[in-house]
Amino acid sequence: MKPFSDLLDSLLYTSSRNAKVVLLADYFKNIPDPDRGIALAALTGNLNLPNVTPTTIRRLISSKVDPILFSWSYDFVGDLAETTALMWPSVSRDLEWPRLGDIYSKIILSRKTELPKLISSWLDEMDETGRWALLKLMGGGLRVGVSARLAKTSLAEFGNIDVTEIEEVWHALELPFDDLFAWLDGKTQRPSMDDRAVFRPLMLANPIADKELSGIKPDDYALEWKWDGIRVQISCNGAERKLFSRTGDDISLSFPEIIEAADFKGVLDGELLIVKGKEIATFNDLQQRLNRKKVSNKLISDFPAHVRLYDILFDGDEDLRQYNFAHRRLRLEQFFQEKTLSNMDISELVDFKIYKDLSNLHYSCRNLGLEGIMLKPWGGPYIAGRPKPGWFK
Amino acid sequence: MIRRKPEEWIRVTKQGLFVDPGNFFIDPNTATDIAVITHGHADHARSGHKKVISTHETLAIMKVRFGENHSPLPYGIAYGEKLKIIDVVIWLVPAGHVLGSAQIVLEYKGSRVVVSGDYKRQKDTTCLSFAPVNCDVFITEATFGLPVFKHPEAQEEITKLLRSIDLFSDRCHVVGAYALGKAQRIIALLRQKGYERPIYIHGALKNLCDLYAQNGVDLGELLPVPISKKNQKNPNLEGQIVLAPPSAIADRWIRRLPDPVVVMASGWMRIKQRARQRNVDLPLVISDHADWNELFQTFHEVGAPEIWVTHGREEAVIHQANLQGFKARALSLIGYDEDNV
Repeated sequence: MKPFSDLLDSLLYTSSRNAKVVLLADYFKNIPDPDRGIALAALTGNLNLPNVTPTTIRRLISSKVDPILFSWSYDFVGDLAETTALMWPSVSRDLEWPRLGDIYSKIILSRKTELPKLISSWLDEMDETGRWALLKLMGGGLRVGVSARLAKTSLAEFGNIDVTEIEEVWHALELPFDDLFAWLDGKTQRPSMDDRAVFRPLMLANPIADKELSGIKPDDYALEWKWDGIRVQISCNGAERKLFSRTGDDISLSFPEIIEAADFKGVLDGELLIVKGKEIATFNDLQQRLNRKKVSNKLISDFPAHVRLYDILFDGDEDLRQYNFAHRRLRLEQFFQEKTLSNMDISELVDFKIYKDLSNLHYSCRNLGLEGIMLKPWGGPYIAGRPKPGWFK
Repeated sequence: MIRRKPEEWIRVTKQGLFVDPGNFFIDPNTATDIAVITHGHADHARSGHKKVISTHETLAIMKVRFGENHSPLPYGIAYGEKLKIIDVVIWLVPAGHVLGSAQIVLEYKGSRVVVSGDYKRQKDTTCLSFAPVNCDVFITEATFGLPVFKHPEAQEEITKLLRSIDLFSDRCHVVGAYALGKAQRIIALLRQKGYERPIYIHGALKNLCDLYAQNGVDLGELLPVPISKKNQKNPNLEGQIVLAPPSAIADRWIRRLPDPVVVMASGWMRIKQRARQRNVDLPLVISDHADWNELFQTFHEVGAPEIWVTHGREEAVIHQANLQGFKARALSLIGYDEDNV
C-alpha cells in the first residue's frame, strides 16, 4: 500500500502529463503482481469495491478523536477523507503496512458488516498518506487526474511499445492483469486473444473544410451517408459476442437482439440505429435503449435496434485492416451475403456523380435526417484513431 | 513585595504587546520608542524603532534587511544575559525558530512571563534549540494550532526531494522557501543527506545565507542563478536545485528555469488541497513552527498554569489546553501574516 499511496500522492500534485507518465511507468516497473494490477484497475476505474460511505468514515473517526476538534479541523481542511487521515491517531511507525493485493482480497472476501473494523485496523497500520489513499480507494473515485488513456500510455512507455498495442489487448484483460505485465516485462508473448471477443480501436473521421471539399475527386473517394446513431463495433469470437461503443465500452447487455443476430466470427464496424418498419427513428428513440443493463421485450419491440454496417475489420481470424477500403467493402458485402444477418444491413454507397456540388450536399443532409456525409479514400487501410490523410466527415 | 498578576502589567494595544512597568513593546507593528524583538521575520521585526533590544544575531538580520540605520540605538544582548528596563528584568532564551530567535522572559514583582514568539521543537542545526523556562504565564503562538498539523521529520521530507531529483534528473527543482531560516535549513538538511553539488539561490537569499555562514552554519557551495536572456531557458540548471522565495515562484522569474519541478517547503503543505491550490508539484512539510503535539508538549514542560494564545488557530488550542487543565485564553494581536511561515 505504501508505494501505491506514494504514487497517488505524487499524481495528485503533478500537472504535467509527461511527468504523470514517468511516475506511472516507474510504478509499473518496480511493483510486483498483483499489486500493480490492482493499482491499474483502480486508476482506470475498473476496481469495483464496495463503497465506504461518508457516514461510515465519520463514525470511525468520531470514536477516535474529540468531535469539537474534528469539526474545526474539517472546516479547515474541507475534505472528509483527508481530515480523517490526518487526525487518525498514529499507533506505531514501525508496523508493516498491508499490501494493496491483501487489502483487495480481504475486502472482496469479507462481509459488508465486517468492513469498518477491517478499515479501522488498516488505518492504524499506515501513515497519513496511506490512510488518505485507502479512504480514497474505498470512497469510489481517486480523482488524481489519470484517465484510462493516460494509464495505457504509461503502460506502453514502461513496456517500450506503441500504445495501440495496449489498446488492442485491453478489452481481453482482467484483474489482476498478470498476463499483461508478464508481456510488458518481456517474459511472455502478447496475451492471447484467441477465444476472446475484443474491441479493436476504431478509425474516426476528420471534419472537412470547405476548401478541402472542392478538392475531392469522385474517383478517389467512396461517399456514404453518415447516420445519426451511435458508432459501434460488433466483435465475435467463438463463444463470445460483444457490442462495443466507439470508446470501447461494452454495451452488449443493452442490445440483446443485436448480440443474438451476430452469429459469426469476425469484427464489424457500423452505426447503431433504431429502425421502425423501414423508417429510421430519431436519436431520442435510441436514447431510450442506452445505459440499460436489462431491457424488456416491450422496449425491444417498441424500439428495435439495427446496425448499419460500414466496414469489416476481421473475417474470422483474418485481419483485414491492412487492406484498402475497396477491398474491405467487397469483403463486407460477401460476408453479409454469406451470413444473412438479421437486424443489420450495409450502408449504401452514394453515386458521387449525381451530386455536382458536394458542399451543398454536405449542408442539405441535415434536412434529410442525416448527420452528414462520410468520404473514404478507396485506397486507404483501416487505421485506429483519426489518421491524416484518412476519412472525412 | 506585593505580587502583581501578569494581566495587570502586560496588555495588548493596537501596536502590539506592551509591558507597562518597562515602558516597552514586544514585536510592535509600528515604530516605537523601545522595542524588544523576538526574531527577524518581517511580521515581528520592523524598522524605525528608536531603541531596539534583541539578540546580536537578530540585530544583524535586521541590518541586512533594513540597512545599517534601521534604528539609532540597536542594543544586542546574548542569550541568558539579564537586562533591567525600568522596573522589569528581561532575558532572552533560544526559541529554535530561526537564527537569533528568542523567547523573552519577563520578571516583575514576583511573577514571570515568557513571550515565546514563534518557536519549534524539531531539530534544526541552523539555530539553537528551544529551551523551556518555568513561568507563570506562557504566551504561545498557534500558527499550526489544529490537530491535523503534525510535522513529519524534516529529514524524511528532504528524502522526497532527493528521490524526485533521481526520477526527474533532467528537470530543475525549484524550492520555494522563506528567505530567513527556511532556506538555510533546507540547504543544511540537503548537506546532511550528503548532497554535495552546488545549490543555486535566488538573489533575495544571498545576504541572509552569507550571514548564516558568518555565524558558523555550513551551507556548502552556493551559486547565484545565472541570468539568461529574456524568455530563454538556462540549460545549466537541468537536474539542479534552485532555492527561491515563494513570491518569485509565483512570478515571471520562474520562466527562466528549464522545466521546473515546483517544490514548496512549508507546514501548510500538510493539507493537500492547499498544496494543489498553489500549483505545487512536490510539497514538503517542513515548518519552523511548533506542530499541534509540540505546542502541548511545550505547555507541560514550561509548567505554566496560564497559557495565553496568539496568532493562529487560537480556539482549538485554547479548547484543548483547558481540557488538559491549563487556564488558557486568547491574546488578540493584529498584523500577523500567515504567508511568512
